Amino acid sequence: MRGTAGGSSCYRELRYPLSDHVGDRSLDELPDVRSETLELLAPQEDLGDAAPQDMLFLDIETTGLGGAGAMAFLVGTGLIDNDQFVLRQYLALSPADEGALLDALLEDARLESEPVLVTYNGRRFDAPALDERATMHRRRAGFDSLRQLDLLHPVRSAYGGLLHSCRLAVVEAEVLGLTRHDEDVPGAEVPQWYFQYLRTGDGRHLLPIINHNAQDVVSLGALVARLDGSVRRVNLTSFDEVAVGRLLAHRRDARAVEFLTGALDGLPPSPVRRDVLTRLALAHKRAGDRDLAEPHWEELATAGGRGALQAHVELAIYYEHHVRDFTRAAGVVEQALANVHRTVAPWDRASAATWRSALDHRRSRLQRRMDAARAPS
Amino acid sequence: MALEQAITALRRGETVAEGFVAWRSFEAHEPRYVAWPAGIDERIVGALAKRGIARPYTHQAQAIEGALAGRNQVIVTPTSSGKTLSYSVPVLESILRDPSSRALYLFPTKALAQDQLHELHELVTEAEIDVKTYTYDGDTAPAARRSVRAAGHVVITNPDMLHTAILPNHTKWVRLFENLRYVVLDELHTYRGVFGSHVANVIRRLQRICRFYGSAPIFICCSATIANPDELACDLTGREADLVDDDGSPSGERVIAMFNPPVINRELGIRRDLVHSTLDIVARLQEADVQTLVFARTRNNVELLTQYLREQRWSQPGARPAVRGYRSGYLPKERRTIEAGLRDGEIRTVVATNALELGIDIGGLDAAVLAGYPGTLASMRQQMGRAGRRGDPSLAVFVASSAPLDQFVVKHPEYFFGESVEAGLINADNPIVAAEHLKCAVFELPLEPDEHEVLGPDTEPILEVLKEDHMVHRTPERTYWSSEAYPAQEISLRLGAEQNVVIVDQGPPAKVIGEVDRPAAMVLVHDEAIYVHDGRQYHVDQLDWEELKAYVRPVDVDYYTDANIAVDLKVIDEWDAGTRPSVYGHGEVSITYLATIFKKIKLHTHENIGWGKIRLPQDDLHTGAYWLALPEAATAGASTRDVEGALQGLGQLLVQVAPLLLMCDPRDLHLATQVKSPHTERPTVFLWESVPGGVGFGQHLFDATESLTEIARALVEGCACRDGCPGCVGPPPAPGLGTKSLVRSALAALTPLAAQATPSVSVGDRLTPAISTGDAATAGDAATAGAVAS
Repeated sequence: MRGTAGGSSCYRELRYPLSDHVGDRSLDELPDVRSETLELLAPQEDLGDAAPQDMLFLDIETTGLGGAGAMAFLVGTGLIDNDQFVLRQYLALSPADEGALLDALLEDARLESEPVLVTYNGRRFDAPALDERATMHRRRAGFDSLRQLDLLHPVRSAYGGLLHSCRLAVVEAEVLGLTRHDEDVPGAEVPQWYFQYLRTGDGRHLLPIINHNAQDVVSLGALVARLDGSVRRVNLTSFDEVAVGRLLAHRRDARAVEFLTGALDGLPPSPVRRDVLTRLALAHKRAGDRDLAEPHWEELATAGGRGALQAHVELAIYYEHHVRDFTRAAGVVEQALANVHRTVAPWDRASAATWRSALDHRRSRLQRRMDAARAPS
Repeated sequence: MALEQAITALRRGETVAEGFVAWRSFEAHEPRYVAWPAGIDERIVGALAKRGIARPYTHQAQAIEGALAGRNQVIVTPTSSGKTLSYSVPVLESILRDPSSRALYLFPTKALAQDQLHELHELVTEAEIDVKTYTYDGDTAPAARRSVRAAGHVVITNPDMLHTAILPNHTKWVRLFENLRYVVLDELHTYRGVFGSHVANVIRRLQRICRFYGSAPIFICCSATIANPDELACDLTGREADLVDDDGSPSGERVIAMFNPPVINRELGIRRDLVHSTLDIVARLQEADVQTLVFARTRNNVELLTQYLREQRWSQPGARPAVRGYRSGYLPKERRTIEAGLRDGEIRTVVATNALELGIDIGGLDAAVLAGYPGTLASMRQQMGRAGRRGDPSLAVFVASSAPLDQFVVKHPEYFFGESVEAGLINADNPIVAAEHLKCAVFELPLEPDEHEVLGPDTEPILEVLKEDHMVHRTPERTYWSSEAYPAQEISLRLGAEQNVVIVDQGPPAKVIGEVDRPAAMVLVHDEAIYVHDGRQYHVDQLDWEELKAYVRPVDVDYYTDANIAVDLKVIDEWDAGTRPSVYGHGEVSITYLATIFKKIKLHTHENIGWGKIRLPQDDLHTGAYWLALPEAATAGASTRDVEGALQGLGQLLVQVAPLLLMCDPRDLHLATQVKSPHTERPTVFLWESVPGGVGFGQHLFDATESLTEIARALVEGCACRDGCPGCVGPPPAPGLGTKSLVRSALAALTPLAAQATPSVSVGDRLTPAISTGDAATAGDAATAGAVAS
C-alpha cells in the first residue's frame, strides 16, 4: 500500500530473470535491442539515440473507453534492470484511490528523465488517458509528450492481413507462441470484473485482471525483442520473414528485397504469395531494378485476383517505356482488356469502366507509336 | 409599388376583403446611435466601419459596456437589430486584451452556428486580428477536432454537442475551460419547456466544470420577445443578468393584418378552411410579385399549400414564379439551396414550418403570411418579423384556422398587439430530467456533498437509486461514476431525435428524400399512405418498422391520406388529487397507442373517398398526465350520448387552452376521454404528455386548474355559435345534442363564482403577464363587429 493525501493505492513489483520464457522465446536479447530497430519500428519518434534501458513498457486498465467518467484503476509498467525485467503494478481498490495511484506511478516513472514509452495503441489511448486522469486530479503528467514506441502500428504493417486481427492477445498467440491461462479475462470484460469487485469486495474478481495486465506488459517486451531478432535474422521463421519484409517494404527500406525474396521461396500460390510478389516488385521498381520486377509482375498477371490488372499495367509500362517493345506492350494491354470482366466485381461497373478507358487510352497510344515506328522515316 | 398594390388588392379584393378583421400599421423608426464605449480596440472599430457600421445602436453599446464590465446580459430586441454585434464585440475585445481568453457560443441548430461562423470570420479577417473561430458539431472532421480544442478562441456549437461531446470529455478541453470568459446563448426563447429544462441542466454541468478549472464565464443571452427574458436567463444560467431591451435599431413601416376566414355555414359555425383562405391571400401577393414567406403549422399543410400554389391559375403570361416548400425532413443541402434562392430573390414564395422561424439568414422578405396560430405569441412575432428585415415597408398577415386558440387570437387582436406575451417556462428541477443529467454530472466529475443543492433538490434520493442500480459508487466523501455506460449518449435533449424513419424513393436510382420521427411515421408513412414532399406525391409501398425505413415511389393521385390513432390510457400512480370544484388530479399514466385506419381525402374538396387498415404494432408510453372529471351538477340527468359529447367538447377546449398556460408546443399534449373512468369513477378528461416520463406539465396544470377552466369558459362564452363550432367545443357530433350548453354548465360549475364575475387570469406568479382575457365575452363580439370597418 502506498498512501498520499486523500487515498492509497496498492503496489506490487515482480522481477523476472530475462532468461524466463515468454511464449517460445526468452527475453535474453531485450537489453541488446538496437536503436536502429527502435527507429525502424517508430520512424516518426526520433529514437536514434534511444537505449533499451530507456524503455518504459506501459499498459493501463480503465473502466470504460472514454470520457471523464472512465477511470484508470490499474497501471502496469515494465523496465529492464540488468538481467531482470521489472514489472510494477499500481492498483486503485476504489475510485477514491485513483489520485494516489497516479502519484505512486508518477513518482516511480520519473518522466523527467524522458523514458521512451512502449505501448500497444498507447498513442491513441494509454498516454492521453493517463494525462487526462491526472488532469481530473489536478496533477500534471505528460505521458503524451514523451517519445513513444506504439507497437500497434509496426505490427499492423508487418502482420496486418496475415493474422485475423491485430489485437495484442492474437499477436501473442500467433507470433510469440504464447497461450494465456484459462482464467484470463478478455480485455472487453475488464470493466465489468472491476465493477463486480467494487460491489462485492471479492478479490477473485480482481486477480484475473491483474494477471492479464501483467501479461500484457511482459508481452510488449517480448514483442520488441522478437522484432529486433527477426530484423537481424536471428532465429528467423518463415512467417516472420514475410512480416519483417512487409514492414521494411512499408518503410521503403532496401533490406525489404532480401526478406521478401527469401520469403517467396517455398511459399505456395496464395493471397499471401501475391501480396509478397506485389511488394517485392514494387521494391525492385523503386530501386530502379525493373528487370528484376518483371517476372513477379508476370506471375501476378497470370495469377488473377485483384492485383492482376495493375500487374498488367506495370508490365505494359515496362515494355513500352523501358524495353521499348511496343508490340509486346500492346499484347499485354490486349490481355488486360480481355481480363477486366474477370477481375473487377460485376456490380462495380464504375471501376470496370475506369480500367477500360485507361487501357483503351494506352492501347491507342501504343498503336500510334507502332505505326510511327513502322513508317519509313 | 408592388407591396402597396398587393395591400390594396387584399383590402378591396373579392372573397378576401370581408375576412380582414384588423389592419394596423406601425410607423418607421429612425435609428438611435451612440459613440463606441471607451477602450474598444481600434482594429475592431475600424473593421466595423469598413462594413458600414460607424457607431453602435444604443442597445448594442449598453450590452457591450455591461459585458465588458463583467455583468451577465440578456438582450431582447427584434430580428435584425444587430444582436450579434452586442456579443461579438466584447468577446473579440477580451481576446485582444488577453489572447488566452476563450468564448463558447451556443446556438439551437447547426445551421445557425454556420451562419455565425461566417459572420465572425469576415469580421476577424477585416480587422486583421489573430482570433481563431471554429464550429464544433457532428460535422467537424475528427482530424480538425484536436485543433479546435487546443487553439479555438471562439468555439461555436449547440447544446446537444456540449452535452454529449464536450462536457463528458472536458479533460480534452482544458484550454477552453481554464480560460472561458464568455458564454453566448443566442435564441434564448427556444430553450423553454422540455428542451429548456434539459439545457438548463447542461448549463449547470458546464458551470460545474468551469468551477473545477477555475473560470467563471459571463453569460450573454439573446432572446426574441417573451414576457420574462431575464427570468428565463436566470433559470437557465442560475445567474442574474442585466436586461437590455431598449431597441435603437431602425425599422421600416410595417403593416399587420388579421384575417378570419368567412363563415360558410352559420348553423354549424363552419368557416372557409385554412388552406384555401391562405391561398386566396398568397395568390394576390404572388400576382404583385411580392416575395412572400408562408408559415404553416404542419408538414402536411406545407406540402398541400406548396402543391396548390403551383397549380394556381396564373393570370400573367410568361414564367411562373418559383414556389418551394421548406420543413424539417428536407435534406440540409436542399434547404441551403432554398435559403440562397430566398436571399438572391430567385425564389419568390416559400411555404415553411417553424424550421425557418429561427434566425437563419434569408435576407429581407416583403411579406409573411401565417397560416394558423403558431402556438405562442413569441413565435407569431418571430414569424411576422421575417418580413421587412431591411427596414423597407413590409406586410404580415395572420390567417386564423377554426381552432379555438386561433379564433381567440383573431377575435382579440389586442392580445397580439398589446404588450402581453407568454413567459418562457422551464423546470430545471424536473426529477426525470434532473436525474438524467445528474448521471452525466457524476460521470464528468465525482460529486462533492456541497454540490448536491446546486444540482437540484432531489439529488440525494436520486443518488441512492443510482447506487442501488450500481451506476455510482459512494464513499463518505464523494460519489463516483461506476459504470461502463456513457450516460450523455443515452439522453437526447430533444424529443424523438434519435429514432427517425428514413424515406427512400425506390427510383431507380434509389435515394433518400427525407425522414420523419417515429410517432409521426405512424401517421405519415404507413403502408399505402400518400406522402407529400416538396409538393410531389409519393405512395408508400412499404413501411419497414424494424429497419425504420419507408419505401416510396412517385405517383400522381387526386387524394391525400390522414391516419387515425386509437389511444388507451390507464392511471398508474396518482401524485396529487383534489375534489373541488370536481374530482381532478395528476400523476403517472400508461398509454398504448395504435394506428388503426387511414382515410383517403380528395384534394381541393376534402371529401372522404375511402379508407384502409394500418397494420403496425402498438406503441407503449409511460408519462405524466392531468385529469379533470365533469362535475356531478353538470351531468345530472344527461344521456350517455350527451355526456360523451360534452366530455369530448370540454377535452377539445382544455387541450387547446393548456399550451397557452404552459407555453409548450400544442403537440406536447394529447387528449383522452373516458365516460366512466376506472380511476375517478366519473366522466373524465385526461391531458397526457408526449414525452416519455413527462416533464411536469401535469403538475403545472394541476396547480393552474382554476385558470385553465376560466380561460376555457371565456372562450365558450365569447363564441357566437349556438350549438358548438370548431372555434369552441367543436361541432356537435349529432344534431340536437346539447353539447355546448352542457359544457357551459360544466364550466360554470367548475369556475369559482369570484372568477365568473371578473374573469381575469393569472396562473401563479410566474405566468402573471402571460395572458389577460379581460372582458372576453363582450370583446369577442365587438371585435367581429368592428373588424371590417378598420
